[in-house]
Amino acid sequence: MTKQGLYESQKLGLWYMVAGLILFGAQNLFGLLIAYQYINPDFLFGLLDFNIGRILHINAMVVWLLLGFIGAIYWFLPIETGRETVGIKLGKLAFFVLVAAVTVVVLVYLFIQIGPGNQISLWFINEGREYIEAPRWADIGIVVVVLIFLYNVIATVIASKRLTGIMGVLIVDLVALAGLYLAGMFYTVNISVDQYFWWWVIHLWVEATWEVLIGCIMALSLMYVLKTPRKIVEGWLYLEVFLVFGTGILGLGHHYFWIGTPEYWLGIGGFFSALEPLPLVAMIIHAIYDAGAHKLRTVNRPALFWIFAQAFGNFFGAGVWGFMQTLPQINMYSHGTQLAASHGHMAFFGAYVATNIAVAYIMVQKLRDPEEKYVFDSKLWKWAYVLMIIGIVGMVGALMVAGFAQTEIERAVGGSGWQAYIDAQLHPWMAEAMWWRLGFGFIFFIGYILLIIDLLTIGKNKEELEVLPEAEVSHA
Amino acid sequence: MHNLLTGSDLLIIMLSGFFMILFAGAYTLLYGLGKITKKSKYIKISYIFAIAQFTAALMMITPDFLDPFWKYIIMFSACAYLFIPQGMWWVVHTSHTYWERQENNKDV
Ligand code: HEM
Ligand code: HEM
Ligand SMILES: [Fe+2]
Repeated sequence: MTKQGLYESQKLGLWYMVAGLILFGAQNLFGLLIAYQYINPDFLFGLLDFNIGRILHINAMVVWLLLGFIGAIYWFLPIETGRETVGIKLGKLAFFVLVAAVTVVVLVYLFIQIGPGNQISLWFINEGREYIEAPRWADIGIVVVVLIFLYNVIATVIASKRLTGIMGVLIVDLVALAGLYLAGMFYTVNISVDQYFWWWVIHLWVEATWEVLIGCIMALSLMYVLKTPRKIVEGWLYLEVFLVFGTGILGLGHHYFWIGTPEYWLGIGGFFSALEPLPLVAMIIHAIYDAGAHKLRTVNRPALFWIFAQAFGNFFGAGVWGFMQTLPQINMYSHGTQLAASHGHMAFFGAYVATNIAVAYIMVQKLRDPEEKYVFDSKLWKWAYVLMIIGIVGMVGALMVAGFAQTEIERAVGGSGWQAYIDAQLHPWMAEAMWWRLGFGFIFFIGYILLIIDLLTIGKNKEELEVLPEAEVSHA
Repeated sequence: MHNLLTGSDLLIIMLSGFFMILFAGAYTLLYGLGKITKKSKYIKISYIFAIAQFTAALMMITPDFLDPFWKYIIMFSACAYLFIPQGMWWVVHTSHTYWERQENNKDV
């Protein structure tokens, strides 16, 4: 154990989170760059093209979110099992290998922006599947790192001779999550087949296995932040797994409407994904109940508020924005417009970014207030919270307006012709929205900077903190 | 998907879909708040959103554009959203009281 009473596993968890948050910054910078290129396409043209900035923006997102999740699990694992993680040295080695690999991949993206679509490109430059574009050598590296991570988790649980409900769900889910990644690694010449399996990774990650994963992380966080009894969070987790898998797995079909897959997917995809918001609405009740039952008494205010942001953000981003475009009859017109980007930003932020930030605050509290004597709080986190939420909602709103204009003008009225496309692109709802998106993107970025400053400083000055009443100091 | 779609049909269906889920969430939120703070005012307001949710669903199925199958699905979920707050409240509340009683017994 370290001097703050941290397990080595928790130290590793912290490294993962730090690496993730740095990458989050890079994601945002590339987001701002490509948002500006939408307005001024000549900007850096030939030097750093839109497609490269976009690759970096969305791949950085996927990687940083995963780094954060892995960090969260290394963090909570010793708490759940009551012991140091088995094979932690190997785990640390894997971390450095992963960080080095990510750096190399990013540099290669930046230096080799154009090339032939052949096996060499696929192995060394870019595998060409949106969101998971890492070249195959890195793919294999990622698989090895994830196997080490799985070994750490499973071996620790076995060694502790204690399998909690949360850990049981977590292990099954992690195995599924890692297994799905393999589906995105096989090149086929048939684009329909390629897309078919690629969606297994993307959709079955964000709408099934990631949802359950953050369900586990949220359960662990709630036990810490609100001291909710284990049995309650576990009971809730089982229900959530049932509902999310029940609707989300076949909801996959909403990506199989127009890619050359059989027609029955229209019915399956529309039916199941229309039901996907149900569990997200149900989660709202859970959030309110838990918060109310404890009268908002918490050891960590920023973490608690980011947990709320998660419950509502998940509902808005995935539920409201997803449902709006998920029926095949609608999707035929809205497919691939700015509505998809609007939904993507809200859902990823609401469901996953919020989760990682909550965990980051839990980690920082342990560093600065290991005995949990104080209510962890600051002024700055509120600014970061508000600015990031205003930023994302503003971007999402602008994109939604643009998406409606495209769907209506280009598709429904204009019949998807070339002229109709241009009409929609020139329409003020589209053209001006791109400025609004950029502006709100800056606001989001300021929020991010404040978040980082706050994470570096919160809790350092103990005089600013409220002392936790003696009776509530954790018994753990 | 045989009927022709007009621009206004599309707008109606998309916007009603958006508001349907949004109101379902507002209904759930207010219902939960009312229960937890024991203020019946919130619960009363929440029912307005329940009605709004259901109305949005009805709006979604007014254009001829959707086939009956899809209209049934939409109305099925609209009915489900009416009872989610009560149902989930019951589930969460029952499990809380049950487990809290267990915990208390253990302490004694
Ligand atoms: C946290 C969960 C979710 C995340 C992170 C997420 C994210 C995304 C992203 C990034 C895209 C764009 C994919 C692309 O690049 O083509 C997308 C597309 C889509 N999502 Fe989600 N989504 C989530 C949940 C949902 C739910 C619950 C629904 C349905 C109720 C849904 C319905 C759709 C549909 C229909 C599309 C296709 C849009 C199109 O045709 O252009 N999503 N989602
Ligand atoms: C600094 C603020 C940000 C700006 C200015 C920004 C801007 C952009 C731009 C211009 C695109 C390309 C859209 C296109 O190809 O048409 C994009 C794509 C995307 N961004 Fe961001 N972004 C920001 C933050 C974020 C955050 C915080 C997330 C989520 C965690 C995110 C997730 C995504 C996703 C999932 C896509 C792909 C969407 C799709 O193709 O449907 N972005 N972003
Ligand atoms: Fe999906």
